[in-house]
Amino acid sequence: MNSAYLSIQHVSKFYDARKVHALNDVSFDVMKGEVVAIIGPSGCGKSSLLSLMGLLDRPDEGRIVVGSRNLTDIPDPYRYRANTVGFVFQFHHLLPAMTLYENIEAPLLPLGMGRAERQQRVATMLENMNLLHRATFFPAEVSGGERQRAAVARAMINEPELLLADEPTGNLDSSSGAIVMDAFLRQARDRQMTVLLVTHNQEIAARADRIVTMQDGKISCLIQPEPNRY
Amino acid sequence: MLPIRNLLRAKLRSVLTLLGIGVGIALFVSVATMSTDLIQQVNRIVGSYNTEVMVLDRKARSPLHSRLNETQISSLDNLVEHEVTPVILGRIRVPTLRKISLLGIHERLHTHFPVINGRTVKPQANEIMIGVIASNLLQLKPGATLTLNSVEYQITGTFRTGSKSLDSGLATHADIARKIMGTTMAAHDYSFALVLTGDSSESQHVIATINEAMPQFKAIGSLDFSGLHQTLRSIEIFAWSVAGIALIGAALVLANTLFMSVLERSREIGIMMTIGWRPWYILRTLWLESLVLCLTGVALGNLIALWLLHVLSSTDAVTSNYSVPDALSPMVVMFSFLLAPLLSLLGMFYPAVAVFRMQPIQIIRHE
Repeated sequence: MNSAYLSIQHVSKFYDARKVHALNDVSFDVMKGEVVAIIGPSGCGKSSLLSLMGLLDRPDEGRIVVGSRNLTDIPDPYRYRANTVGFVFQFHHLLPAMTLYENIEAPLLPLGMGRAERQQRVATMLENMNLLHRATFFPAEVSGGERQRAAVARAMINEPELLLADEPTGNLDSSSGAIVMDAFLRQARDRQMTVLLVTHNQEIAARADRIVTMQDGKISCLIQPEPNRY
Repeated sequence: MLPIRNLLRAKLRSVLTLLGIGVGIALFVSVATMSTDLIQQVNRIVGSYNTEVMVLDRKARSPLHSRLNETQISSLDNLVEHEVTPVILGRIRVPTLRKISLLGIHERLHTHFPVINGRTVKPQANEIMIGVIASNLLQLKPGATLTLNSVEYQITGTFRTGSKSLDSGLATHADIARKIMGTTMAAHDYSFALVLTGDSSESQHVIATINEAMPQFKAIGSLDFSGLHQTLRSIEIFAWSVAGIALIGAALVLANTLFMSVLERSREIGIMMTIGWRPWYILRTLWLESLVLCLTGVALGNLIALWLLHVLSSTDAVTSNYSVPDALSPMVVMFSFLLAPLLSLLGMFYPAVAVFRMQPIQIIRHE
């Protein structure tokens, strides 16, 4: 039996001097290469959980283990994010002064990668996401679907082990959302990325390997992974 | 390209910042240039006084009233071992101005009248040189003619000695000066003689020798410039203080712009942090914007300063007291460009603090 790639162990998170209990003793495991959808009403703690896994924030209680690393012990969150994590947000959050090419290339810059290798990676990614013809366009010059595909490409360009997506199609109409989701899941599965996908959309959640349901900062419904599947 | 694109996103703010930096640098460059030039002018005057001994008729009330004949000058020449050159000094009436000074000199004294435009005079020709202040006041440039006592004289060049009285007058060959002065200066007479010692301590020795051996003469020189030096030092400190304040002003304008830029782009900075960009890396991109602004602002400031000096140098109110240079000091221009990176770093200080305090989670949560 394979051990879990991501292990969330009794994690709690408070805000406003412990008045707001965003996460309350949350525990679950995710296998390497698994796509897990997290669903639940607004304010149930889904995004807070993603922030902790991306080391944008630290848990007040409990611990999160990614691979063999306890996130609490990682002193350099920038390096962790640059090397291990990819983020996709509900809004594309592309940098407006950069072209799509430059936006997708941006996560590679702090890695110290050579120019030729960067160019090759970005070109491949643009092609995979069907954005090659938009490479020199600025975010304001392309459609919402193209922007979100570029955001997905940016999240994947550094080939992260862990992909965290917060409502990645929440701002798109259903057809554009389906195209973005197809590209997103195809690329993630091709690259054996572990994906945590926060969504309200039941159809999108159904495409995940497993669904975690949250309510009031707690896990209300959890289907354990099938150990032999991954 | 990214820094320029980011600057173009807020065009008006970038232009206003450029103007702010430009004005600060213009003030710095013009004040520093004028201060440097003033010191050079005064040092030149002091230097020339210290290495020259003026020999006058002892009974004369001033150099204007002094008269020395060729025999007296010859005996003076025999007494001292240094070069002796006679000078004619008079006051003449010119159109539109009441009276200005006229100097009649020999070729060996031409080096004391540096020509900044045109050329020096030729002996025996009806030619004249004009001081830079007089040139501005009379609007006479090289090539123009000036009628004195019904005779036309061609202006061959403009000189600038740094001395207000000399630069407010005319200079020509001694024989021509005598002709212009007419009956007020007898043939073969001079006003005074200069003994060119080349050394201030030697000047003291020459003065003592002349005053002792030739009681009919009065030898003077080495004026006491200690007070002038002190005043000059105060002016220098004041000028550099103004220049420093101008620079601080420019840095504050820049800091304000960058700080606003950081606040406006806090979401973008948060995103950069989520994709692994460290604060230092983000600041590097901001610094490039700051550097572009500073280098452009410095270039603009130098152009404004050049224009300002041109205006000041042609304004009577200023030139009547001090001869303002109409070109920038290359050293100051170079210094101002070297200051650009320093200014860009100074302007980055507070924005840098803001970036380091940012937490991506807070920025993204606000969304």
